[in-house]
Amino acid sequence: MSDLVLLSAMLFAPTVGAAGLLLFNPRSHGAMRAFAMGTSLATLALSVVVWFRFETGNGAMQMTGALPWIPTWGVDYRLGVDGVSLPLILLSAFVFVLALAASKSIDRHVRGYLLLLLILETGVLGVFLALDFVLFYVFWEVMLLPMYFLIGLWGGPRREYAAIKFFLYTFAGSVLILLALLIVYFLGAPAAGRTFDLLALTAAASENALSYGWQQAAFWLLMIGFLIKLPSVPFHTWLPDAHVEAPTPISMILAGVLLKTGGYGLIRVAYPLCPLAAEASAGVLATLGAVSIVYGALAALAQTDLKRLVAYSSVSHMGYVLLGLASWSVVDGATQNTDGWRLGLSGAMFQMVAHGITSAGLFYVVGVLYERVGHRDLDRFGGISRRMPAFSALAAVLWFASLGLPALCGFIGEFATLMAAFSYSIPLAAVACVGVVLAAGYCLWALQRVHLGASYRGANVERLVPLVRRERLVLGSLAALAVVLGCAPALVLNVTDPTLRSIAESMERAVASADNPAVATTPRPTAEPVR
Amino acid sequence: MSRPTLPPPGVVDALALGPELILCGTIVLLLVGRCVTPRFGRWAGPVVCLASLAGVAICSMQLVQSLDGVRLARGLPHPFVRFGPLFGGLLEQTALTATIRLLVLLTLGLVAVLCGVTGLPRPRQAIDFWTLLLGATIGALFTASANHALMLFVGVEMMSVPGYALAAYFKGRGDATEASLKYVVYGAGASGAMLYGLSLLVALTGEVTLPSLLPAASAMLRPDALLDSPQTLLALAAVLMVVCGLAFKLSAAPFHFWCPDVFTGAPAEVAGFLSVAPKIATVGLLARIVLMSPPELSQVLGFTFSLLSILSVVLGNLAAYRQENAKRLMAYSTIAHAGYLLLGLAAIAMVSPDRRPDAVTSTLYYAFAYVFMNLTIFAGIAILRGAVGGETLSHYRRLTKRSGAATVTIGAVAASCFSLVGLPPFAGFFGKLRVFASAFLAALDDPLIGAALLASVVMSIVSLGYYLKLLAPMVFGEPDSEQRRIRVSAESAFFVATLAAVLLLLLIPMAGPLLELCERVASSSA
Repeated sequence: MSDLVLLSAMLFAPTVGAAGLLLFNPRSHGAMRAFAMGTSLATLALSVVVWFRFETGNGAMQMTGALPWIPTWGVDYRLGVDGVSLPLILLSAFVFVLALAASKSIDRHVRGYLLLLLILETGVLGVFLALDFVLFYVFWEVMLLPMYFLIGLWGGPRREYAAIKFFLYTFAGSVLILLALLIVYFLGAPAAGRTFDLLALTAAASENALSYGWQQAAFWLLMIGFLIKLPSVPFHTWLPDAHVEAPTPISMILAGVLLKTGGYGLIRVAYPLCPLAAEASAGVLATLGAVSIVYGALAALAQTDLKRLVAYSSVSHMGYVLLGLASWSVVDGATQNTDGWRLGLSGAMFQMVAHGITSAGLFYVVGVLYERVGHRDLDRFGGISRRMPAFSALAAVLWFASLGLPALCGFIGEFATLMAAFSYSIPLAAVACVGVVLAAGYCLWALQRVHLGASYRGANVERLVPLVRRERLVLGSLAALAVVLGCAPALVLNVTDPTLRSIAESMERAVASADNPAVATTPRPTAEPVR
Repeated sequence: MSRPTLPPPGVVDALALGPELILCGTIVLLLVGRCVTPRFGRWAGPVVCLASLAGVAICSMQLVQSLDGVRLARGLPHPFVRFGPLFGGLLEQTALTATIRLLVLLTLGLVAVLCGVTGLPRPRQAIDFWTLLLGATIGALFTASANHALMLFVGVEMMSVPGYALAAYFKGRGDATEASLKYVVYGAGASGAMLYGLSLLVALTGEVTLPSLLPAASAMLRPDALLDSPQTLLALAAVLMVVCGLAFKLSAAPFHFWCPDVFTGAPAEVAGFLSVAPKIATVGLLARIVLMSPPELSQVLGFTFSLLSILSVVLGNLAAYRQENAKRLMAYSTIAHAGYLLLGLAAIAMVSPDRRPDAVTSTLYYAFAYVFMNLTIFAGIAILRGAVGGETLSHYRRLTKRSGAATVTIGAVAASCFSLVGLPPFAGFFGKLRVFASAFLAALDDPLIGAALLASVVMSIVSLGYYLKLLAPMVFGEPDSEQRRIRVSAESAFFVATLAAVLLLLLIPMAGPLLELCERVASSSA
C-alpha cells in the first residue's frame, strides 16, 4: 500500500502543483515559475526515491498496488514500476525539470503555460505507471490536450495549423487503440474472467487467449496508434510541423519524452498482448524501422531550418527503436538467434533513453540560438564558436552523441539494434547502416555550418552573449548525462534487461505453444467469447 | 400504532405522477399569476426552477426506492412510488422511466437557471415562454413512460407542439419564422406517419398497450413469409413508420432536416432544451420498446437503428464542417450524437438477452453524459451571445484573457467539446467507451452493427476537427481591433463551470458509482 501511495504521490504531485498555481497572483511570474520548478523538482526527487526502492535485477513488476475504480467493469487504479518504465520515468521527471528551467523565455500567460506543463507531466508519468489498460488510455489522452494548447497558444507563426495537425494525428491513433482495447478485453480475457489488468492480459496472451486473427486486428490497431506517436514513416508528418512551431521547452518535452510513450506502448502493450501477430508482422515492422532511419536522415540532410533538421533526426533515431523491437524471427516455434533479439530489445530501450537526452539537448541548443539571433536558418549561421565557445563545446558533445560516436550515449542503442538487425536480416541491416552514415553527415554538417567557420556576422550579432548560468546548467547536465550513459550503459541496461527478458520469454511461450501461427488461424476453444 | 389505510388505487397512480402534476400545477400558477399581477413574469423563471427541482427530488426518491425496495413509512409503500402499469396500463413506471424522467426534469431546471443567468424571456413574454416549455417537458415525461399506443402519440405530440412555437421566440426575425414553419411542416408529416403506423399496428393486432401490442406485432413479422403474406408486409411498414416518427424526434438522419434550421432560429437556451429533453425521452421510450420486443421485432428494430445510426453519424459529423453559425454547428453535432445513441439502442436490440442490461447501462450512461455536455455548450453559446453580440464563429475572436469570467466560460465550453469528442478524462469518454463496447459485443453476431460501430469510431475522429473549429477562434484567434473587455457575469461563468465540472466529476471519482447506478436501473428494467 505504501508503494501505491509513493507512486501516486509522484504521479499527482504535478497536478497538485498546477492547482496550487491558481492561488498565485497572475502577475507574479517569478513566484509562479519558482513554484512550478519546485513542484517538478519534488516530482524528480520522488522518482529518485522510487529508483532507490526499485530492486534492480528483478524482472517482475514491482511496487504494484491497486484500488478499485469502476468495479462493475473491472477497471482499477493500478500502478507499478518495472525495468522498462523506471528509466523512462526518471528521464521524464528530469526532462520536465530542464524544460521548466528553459521556460524563462515564455512571458505570455505564464500561469496557463505552467499549469498545462504540469498537467502534461502527470499525463506522461501516468502512461508509464499505469498497469490497467483503461487507466493507461486515460493518461494517454490526458497528454494530448495540454500539448494541443501549449503548441497552439505559445507556438510560432503557424502554431494553429501545427497544433490541430498534432491533435488529429494522435487522436486518430488513440481511437484505434481504443478499438484494440475492446478486442483484447472481450476476446482475450484470461480464464479467471475479464479484466483490464495489463499483467493478467499479458499472461493470458502468453497462453494465446486471443485467436490469431483477432491478434492481427488488435496488433495493427495498436501499432498504428503507437507508430503515430513514435513516429515512424509514413505516420511522421505531424512531427516536423509540431516541433518547428512549438516553443523550445515544449519541443524538448515532445522529443525527449512524448515520443517515448509510443515506444513504451509498443513494449508494454502491443507486443506482449499480441505475440503471434507481432511475430508474423516482424518483417513489415523491421522494414518500416529501416525506412524511417534512412528517410528521416535523408530528410534531415535536406533541411535549412535547424529545428526541422533536429525534428527529422528524431524520426530517424526512433526508427532504431522499431528496428530493434522487430528483429525477431521464429522458426518452428523457437526464436532464432535468441541473443540477437534480446540485444535488439535492450538496444531499442536504450535508444529511447539516449534519444531523450540528445534530442532534448539539441532542441535546447536550437532554442538558445534562436532566442539570441532570432532565426534558425542554417545558411545564415556559422562561426558561433568564436562568440560562444562554451556553448559550442557543449553543443558539439550533443551533436556527437546524436550521431552515435562511441563513448557517448547515442552509440549503444544504435550499435545494439544494428547487431540485432544483422542477425535478423542482412539487407535490412545494410540499409539501416546507411542511416548511420547519413546521420554522421547531417550532424557534422550542421555542426560545421552553425558553429565553425569565420566569426558570426549575421543578424543580431550583438545579442550573441555567452551562456548564462541557467543555460549552462541545462546544457551541461544533458551533455554530462550523454557522456555518463555512453561510458556506463550498464546503469540503464542492468535495470531494463531483466524485464525485457521476462517480456520476451512470455512472448516466446506464446509462439512456442502456437507451434505454427499459420495453423493457429482457427480460434482455440479458450478464445471463444464468454457469454 | 394502527396501520393507516391505503388511499384508493387511482390516487396512488396519480401520486406516482408527482412531477407531472407539479408541472401542471405550475402552468396553472403562472397563468393565474399573470391575471393577478402583470409583474408576475419576472417570478416565472424561479418558480419553474423550483418546480423542476421538486420533480427531480420526487423522481430520485422513486428511483432510489425502485432500486432498494426501501419503504419509507412503516410497512407502507410510499405514495409517490408505485411500479408497473399505471392508470390501467396507459403509463408505466419503472426504474428506467424514473431515471429518464429525472434527466428530463433536470434539463428543465438547468435551462431555467440558464435563462435566469442570460435574462432571456423578457418579463412580458416570460409566462408564455415558460408555459410552453413546461408543456413540452410534460410531454417528454409522458413519452418516456408511455405504455399505450395512444399515450405514445399524445406524449410525442405534446412534446413537439410547444417546440414549434418556442422555435419562433424571436418572432420578428426571418430565420425564426422559417425555423418554426419548417419544424411544423416536418413535424406534422412525421407525426402523421407515426399515427398511421400506430393505427395500422392497433388494427392488425387488436391490442393497444405496448406490452401486448409489440409481441403480437412481432408474431406477424415472420421473415420467411415477408413476400407471401400481406399482413407481414403491413406490420413491417407500420413498425417502420412508428420508428420514422420517433427518429424525427431524435433528429436522426434522414429525418434531421428541421434540426439545423430550428437550432439556428431559436434562442440558444431553447435549442439546448430541444437538443436534450425530447431526445432523452425518445431514447428512453425506444429502449423500453426494444426491451419489450420479442426477438423477431427487435431484429427489425436493431437493423433499422443500425442503418439510422450510420446515416446520422456520417452526415452529422461531415456536415458540421461547413457551418459558420455555432448553433448550426452544434445542431449537426446533435444529429451525430443521435447516431451514437442509436448505436447503443441497436446494441440493446441485437445482443443476446442476458447481455441486454449491459447495453442498457451503456446507453443510459451515455444519455447522462450527453445531457451535461450539450447543455454546457448551449449555455456557453447563450452566455457569449450576450457578451460578444452574436453566435457565428467570426464573433468568437480570442475571448480568453479578455476577462476572467470569459476565460472560465470558454474553459467549460472546451471541456464539453472534448467530452463530446470522447476524450478522457471527461464523461463523454466513458459513455462512448461503453456504447462502443456494447456494440462490439453485438457486432460479433451481426455485421451491420459492426459497420455502424466502425462508422461511429471513424466519425469520432472526424468530429474532433469541427469542435476545434468552434474552439480555435475563441482560444487562438486574433483579437479584434478594439480589444474591449467582454462582459460575462460572474454568475453565468459559475453556472457553466458547474455544468462542466459535472463532466469531470462524473468521471474521475464518480464513474464507478454512476455506472453502477445505471447498471442497477438496467437490470431492474430489462
